[in-house]
Amino acid sequence: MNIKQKIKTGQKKRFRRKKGSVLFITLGLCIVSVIFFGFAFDIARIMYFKSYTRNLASAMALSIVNECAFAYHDSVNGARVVIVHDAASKPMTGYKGKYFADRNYVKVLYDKNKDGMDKTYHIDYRNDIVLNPYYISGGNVVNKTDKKRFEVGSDGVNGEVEVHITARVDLFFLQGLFQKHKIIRESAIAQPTAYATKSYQKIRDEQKITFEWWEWKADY
Amino acid sequence: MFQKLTRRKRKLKKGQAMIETVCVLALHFFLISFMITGFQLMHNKMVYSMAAYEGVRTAIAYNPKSGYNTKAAKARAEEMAKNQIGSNKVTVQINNKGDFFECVVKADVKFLAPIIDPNLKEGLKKNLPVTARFTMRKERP
Repeated sequence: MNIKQKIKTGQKKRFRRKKGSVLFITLGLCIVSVIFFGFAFDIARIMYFKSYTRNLASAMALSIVNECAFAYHDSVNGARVVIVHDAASKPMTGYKGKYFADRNYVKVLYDKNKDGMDKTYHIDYRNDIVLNPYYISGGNVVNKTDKKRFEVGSDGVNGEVEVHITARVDLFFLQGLFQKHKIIRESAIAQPTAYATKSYQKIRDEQKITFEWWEWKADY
Repeated sequence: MFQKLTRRKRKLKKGQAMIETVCVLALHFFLISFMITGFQLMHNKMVYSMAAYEGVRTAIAYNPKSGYNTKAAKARAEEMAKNQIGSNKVTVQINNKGDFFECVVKADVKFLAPIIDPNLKEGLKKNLPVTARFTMRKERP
């Protein structure tokens, strides 16, 4: 057998071996595509739930401000607003709210918004929703409320409420590979303001929501 | 005679390559459309959720002269859904629930390809109803 014949025989063997290789490659590509799709779909779901959690926190913070805010005239600070968080909060004269900014009202708000939540989205309102939390490292919070912020917030005059939500999202595709749930942490702050008019009538300005990337502007 | 047989074989192999290509392309097209549909679903959900939030945020705002403006709230939510998705087929409801307003945004969304229901109960279907809702306490007069 000369060299030419050897090469031909070798080529034939290679072609025989290659039979079906296209199908294997296709199958491999399909598996890779499905894994890629699963990964991307779960990431998309996480992004959606992060956005939803942020909106939910904002809705709760605004609802607490609308229910529990109390505007009055302080001799030191002038017109100001505080968030009434318990029966011992000051000043209570003329407070019209049915609830205080506490766990009971958080439960009411949670129940009101429960219908809009996805089946794969879980919040335990007793432990996962914290008002004005203490932060520790890594963005984690202690399940304890900083009550001073209800009376004096970041502007140094008015009280504020921060709603911090820790939600768990069931993963569809990644749970076998990585983890069963993805934990999402989001928060929103609402701080009301007040000013006194010439006739000393106390009125409240539009609530201000502080987002990291978005500032609310009421244009209607 | 031998040459004729070889030509036939070659002709047969050409058809095989074509069929394989068609099969592979069909499979890939299905996978790609499946992906697009999944992301379309998440995008729709995100936009309707934002629209519901914006709607209820507008509804709770109290104007001392005209009171609560639910028409503006509805228009706001519809406008948002229209601008983001480009579809008018969205139902927006502003429900007055005592001290609270609830904004519900519903749409029966048509997708590029049939999708599997996330609850895996109803199997393959073409349309999926997407609903988003938020409830907020009204501002005090």
